[in-house]
Order: sequence, then structure tokens, then C-alpha cells
Amino acid sequence: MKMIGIVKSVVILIFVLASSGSFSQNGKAARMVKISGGNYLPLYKSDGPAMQKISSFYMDILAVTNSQYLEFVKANPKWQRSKVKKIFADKSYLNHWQNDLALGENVNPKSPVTNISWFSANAYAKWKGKRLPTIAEWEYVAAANKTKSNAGDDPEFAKIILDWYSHRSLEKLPDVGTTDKNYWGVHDIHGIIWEWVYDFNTALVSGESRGDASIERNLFCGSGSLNATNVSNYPAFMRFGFRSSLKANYCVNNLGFRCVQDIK
Amino acid sequence: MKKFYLFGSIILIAIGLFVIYFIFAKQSKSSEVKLTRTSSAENVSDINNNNEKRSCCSEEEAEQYTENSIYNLESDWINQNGDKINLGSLRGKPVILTLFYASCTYACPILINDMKKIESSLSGRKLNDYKFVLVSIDPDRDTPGSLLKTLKMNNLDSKRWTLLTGNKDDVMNLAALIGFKFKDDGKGGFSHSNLITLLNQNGEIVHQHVGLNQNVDDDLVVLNKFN
Repeated sequence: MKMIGIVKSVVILIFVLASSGSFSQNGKAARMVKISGGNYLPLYKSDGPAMQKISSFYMDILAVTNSQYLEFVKANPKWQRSKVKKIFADKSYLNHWQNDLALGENVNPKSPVTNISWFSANAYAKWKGKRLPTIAEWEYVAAANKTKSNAGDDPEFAKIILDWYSHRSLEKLPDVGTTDKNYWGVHDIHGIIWEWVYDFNTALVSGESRGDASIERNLFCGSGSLNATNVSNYPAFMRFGFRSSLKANYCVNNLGFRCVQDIK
Repeated sequence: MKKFYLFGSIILIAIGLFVIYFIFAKQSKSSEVKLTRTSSAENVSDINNNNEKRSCCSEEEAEQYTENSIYNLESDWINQNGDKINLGSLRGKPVILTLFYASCTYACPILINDMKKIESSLSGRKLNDYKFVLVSIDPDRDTPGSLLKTLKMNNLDSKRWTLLTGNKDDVMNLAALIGFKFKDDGKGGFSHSNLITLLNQNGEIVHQHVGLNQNVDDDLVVLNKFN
């Protein structure tokens, strides 16, 4: 009799604890998907390991929207347009919004927020308890088409992305979630905006000395051994070029972001 | 007896609810983690685990810095003596700043040498009015102890030279602020820019010296203006 009582109590306790755990899992699942880890072949290789191992992580299904970013600046006044320090965000920061705390009629609250800097995207991610994806993580997810986790060698897939790259950015960005979701269940990774990544500044290319290895050696320690691994992956080259042209306080009207989270 | 079991169950449920409350309270409090570090070498890993609220640079303090001051960065560092350092504490003196890592065998010794060239060319002026700062991009390995070793090996005067290590995120932010590019090469080293950055008394970038073994005349022209 005594045993039954104790067992009952323990079962109740376990049930209560388990339900609290599943609640937080469901909360996450509504906005993020799990990306199963695997190997990623960097576009440029050095003398290090060719394949980069990626651990599983959660990724936002959708890019961060104007209305979500508005909540962030309301809670963090130092990131409001008139208050942000120029060293963290240039003069284009949120310049499409009506003012510090209003989007205005011409801004779609559900479209991805753009005109934000790397610093501000990072601050938003931290505020959410998340982080920006690394290049490897982002490219790993972006290599998937609708049916395959890695469509990097699929010329059709490359053509679809290049078609989008060659079109001028839309005057008014559509709602997030309006392009197909890919193999992982992630929407709009191609097709609406470019996205910030955490380690955007790891691309060691100098505009002034392209092709001059001796000068490169002088400007960058250890960069002389970079070699492209897949010369036919034009979209990845374009992204590589775009990233290396950025500075962390640049705010661009077709550059937004989404967050990821480690699996604990 | 039945009452006893009922009472026991209620107690256990109460404990369960308390645990749930504790879990949620912990989650919501994660952004309010307060640093309570002491200054010792072991605390580098402590810093690495903490990207939340910083012990320096509250919004009021940040107000003091100019728009383009790198001291606006909320970051935590430890110097070669194990003391906690805010970047903002460098304010008031011109700074010659370089990112490096202690085990680098090619470029970093040359960069340190280039900085020493600047230092020796400033001789005769008020040398202690300048700060020479080396920030590690390899916080996993560069403990205050290894920074102290670098200081001694290179005969750097600790009155002027400060070597800093911190956490990876702060390194990333500082690198982003000054336009320094670097990448872990996967075999224990880094590819990185060879860049010496000169800051004025407010922490604003006034000049950048790109490359190795370069002439330091331009640096001196800029630095001598501060005298």
C-alpha cells in the first residue's frame, strides 16, 4: 500500500515534469525546425580538413520580419534608428521605416526586415536567446531544394537561384513564407532577400590585390592556399563575393537575417 | 494512512510545480546573468560562457563615447596579468591596436615588430602617453599566462603594452568593428588580415596600416599629431 502511494506520487511528478518539457519543445517547433547535422564542403578549401562537420541545430523557418524587429527596438531603445551609434549601423539603418517606432504605410509588417547591420542582427538574435547561423550552417541549409538535402550540383536548382539573383530587388518585399519551403522545411532561404551570417568576415579576399599571391601573403597570413572546391557553383560564388564586400555596419535594402539555436 | 499518502502526493506535486517554475524562471533570467568574476587566469573559460549582460558599458556609460568610438562595444577582456579590462579604460590615450594570436609563427611576430618600430620611432616623446594593445583571436589557447610569455619574449614594456584575451564573440565583434578578417584554418592556426589600427583618444579609427614590414612614416605622422 505504501509502495503504491510512492509510485503514484513519482508517476505524477514525472508526468508534470515531462509535460513542462514538451511544452517548451512545442513552443520552439512552432517557429524553428531541426536541421540534422552532416558534412559541408566549404566553397574555398585551405590545407585543413576538406569536409566541415556540422552539428544538428534549430533554424528559424522564416526570416525576421519588420514587425518582429519593431518589438526588438521597442525593448532595446539603443537600437532605435535615431539612437543607434553609427559605428554599429550606417545611415541607411531602418531608413525605410517611418520613424523609430512606426513602420509607416509603405512597409509590410510581415515582410523580412532589411536595412539592418550585422551588429544589430546579432543583438536581435541574442535578445531572442539565439544566434546568427555560420556560413557553413547557412550554406548547408541553402544547398537543399524541395526534395533533396544537397542540390548543390543540380544545374536546374542553380538556374532558379541565379534567375532570382539577376532580377532587381523588389520594390516592396512580400510576406515571409511566400516562397517554397525546402527539404528542411525552411522558407525563403532563396528568393526574397540575402541574409547575414555570423562569420561573414572570414572571406579573405582583398579587392586591391586579386591574383597577386605575393601581396596577398603580405596582407593576409595563411590565405595563399585557398582553392575553390566546386567551380560550377555560381550562386555560392556570388554569395561569397557579396559577403566579402560587406562591412559589419552596412545596412542594405535586400539584406536581412534569420536566427538559429544550438540543440542543448 | 491514506491521508498520509495523499499528503505525500501533494508535497511531491508541489515540488514538481516548484521545479517547473524554477526552469521557466531560469530561462527568462538568462538575459540578466550578472558577471561575478574575479581576476585570474582560470576565468577565461568563464568569460567564454557568458555573452549576456556585461559588467561594463551600461547605456549611460556608452553615451559618453562618440558615434564612431570602438569603445561603444560592450565587451569583456582579461590582460596578461589576469586583470579584467574594459576597452573603454584605454580612452584618453592614442592606441596602436593589433589582433594576433600567440602561437602564430609567421605574420604575428612581424606585426609585433612593426608595432615596436612605431614605438621606437616615438622615443623621446612622451612614450607612456601611448598604448600598444595586442588582442588575441585565439582565446581558447591564449590564457593570460601565454600572453605574459609573449610580452616577455618580445621585451614589451608592460607600462605601455597591454595584451588581451576574452571570448570568441567579443573577438568577432572587435574584428568586425575594425574590418579585421580572420578564419580558423582547422589545423590549429588562423588565416588573418595583417592590420595595425591607430585609434585617437576617443577610440575612433584614425589610420590603418595594412600589410607586413611596411614603412611606419604614415603611422608616425598620425600619432605625432596627438602630442
